[in-house]
Amino acid sequence: MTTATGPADVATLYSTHRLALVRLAVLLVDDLASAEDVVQDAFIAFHRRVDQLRDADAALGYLRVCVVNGARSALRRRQVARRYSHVGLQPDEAGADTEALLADEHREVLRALRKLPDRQREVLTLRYWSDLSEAQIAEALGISRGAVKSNASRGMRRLGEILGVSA
Amino acid sequence: MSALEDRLRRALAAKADGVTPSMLAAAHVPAEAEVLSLPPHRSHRSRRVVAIAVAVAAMVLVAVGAAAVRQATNSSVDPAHVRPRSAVPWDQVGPGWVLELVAPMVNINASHTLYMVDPSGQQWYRICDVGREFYFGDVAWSRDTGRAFAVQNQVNGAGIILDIDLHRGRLHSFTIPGAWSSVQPVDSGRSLLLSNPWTATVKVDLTGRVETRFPGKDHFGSAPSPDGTKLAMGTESSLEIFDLATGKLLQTLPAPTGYHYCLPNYWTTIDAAVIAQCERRGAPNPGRALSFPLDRSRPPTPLAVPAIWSDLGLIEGGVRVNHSVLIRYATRVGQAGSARIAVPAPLRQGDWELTWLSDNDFLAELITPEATDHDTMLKWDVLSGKVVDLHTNRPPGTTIFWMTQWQPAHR
Repeated sequence: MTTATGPADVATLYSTHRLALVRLAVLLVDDLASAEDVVQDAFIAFHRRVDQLRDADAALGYLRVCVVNGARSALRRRQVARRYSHVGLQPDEAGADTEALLADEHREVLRALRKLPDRQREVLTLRYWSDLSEAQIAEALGISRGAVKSNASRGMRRLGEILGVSA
Repeated sequence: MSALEDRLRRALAAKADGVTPSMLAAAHVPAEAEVLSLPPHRSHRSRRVVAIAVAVAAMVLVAVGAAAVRQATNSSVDPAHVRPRSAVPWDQVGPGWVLELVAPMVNINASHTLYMVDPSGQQWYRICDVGREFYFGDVAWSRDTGRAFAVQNQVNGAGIILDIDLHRGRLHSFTIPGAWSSVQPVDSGRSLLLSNPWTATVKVDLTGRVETRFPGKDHFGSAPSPDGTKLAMGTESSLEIFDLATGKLLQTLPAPTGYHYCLPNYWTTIDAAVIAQCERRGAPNPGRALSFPLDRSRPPTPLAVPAIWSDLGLIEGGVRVNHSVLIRYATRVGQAGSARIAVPAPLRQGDWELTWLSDNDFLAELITPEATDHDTMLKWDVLSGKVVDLHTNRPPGTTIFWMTQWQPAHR
């Protein structure tokens, strides 16, 4: 049964989930300004669909999909720009502004995480920070549960290789 | 939880917690002067969008805005392009036709619908609804064009295989325990190959009876040979060639030094080799396409990469566009990754997923993988980088979930 979410709910969702969504976006795109853009775009897209969403859980799921897609677009735009300009940040340099105050052991892990393919990084982030189930990750990324599993396994294995520890 | 998992979880939490509410742009409607005075390192667009989002959410104009959005969304699609299954011109169905599994744009729990789309991309034929609240792994199309096969993985671990009669729009299903990520017809359509890269690969008949279990697990990708007698699958360190009928391992072709995780894409009969996409050790991406000679007369060698392909990210070297290695018609290369290309205005740059190569090797069909209003298929000349055809129509309010081009070849 479809229950329209009213305009007041948009504001509630915004105030309730914006911070968490920005944090998710920061983990995916590394810089705060881009993360905020991604989340605001997600809320705009959400507003356009607000009368089609069933309930708050569906709304949050939709917002999460928008954030992941937006983050992916932001990263690809960045990569295309780098490729054509032949300059830009090296992988190890990205995220410097958001990680300056972190402990070395965390920075090392995050540096390794950035070296993974986008899909593996997204899966690991949604699994180990957002605590989503395989099914929820599949929904958020638009991939099969099998692909979630394989990307998670390969991502952890690769992460372990980069860090020189066993996954 | 392993020590590495715990370490990753703590690192992610530490970074996320570093973003505090006071760091975010204020969630109020800023005056224009405030927008213009933002410091240069912060996005002006971000603040404007904040203003729009909050203002729109808070104001009575929502109703008017929503109506306008609906009108704008629907105006780009002509429902007249969607015709019933009975209108499919079966005598014309063949090369260029595509099966599209589409999902509602927003309501992920609504039923997915299967369409057939003509080569122009402009005419859609609604075949049937195929279920809801399932996670689809793959959709395959039979050689005789009359049937489609789809995998639905349920939360309880039951893999449901859908056998869809495209002429009548009827579904027959059977269950094979497990979660399957791909399905492909083999044995001239009499059997199906089901695979999950982490658990198993099996061949089943169309009643669900398991005919062959292929030994081992952790297989990545599967490519039947053109004569339908063998099957290539990748492992972490090699390609393995199996007898498709018995499941017996016939050959192991080790990946060359510096490469691992090889996904076989297709067999070439020109030099009796299997082309596989391998990852480079120690490099996040991209992988490379390597040719594995079946007679092991030479070590596997990376394919040459035309200049234009150097911009293709994960599928760098995915194909060789010259006269010595030909791409089988409609070879699906999308599983090798996304293409990151620049396309002319007004299309967006990037975000395109390469899905098929045409029979002349020079045209690729691409599709945006995102669930947005802008899902678009295009044909792209891989040598010049120019878009030669563009499809923008699709059923209203939907997003393309999966596309499968009809393959005349060897199955």
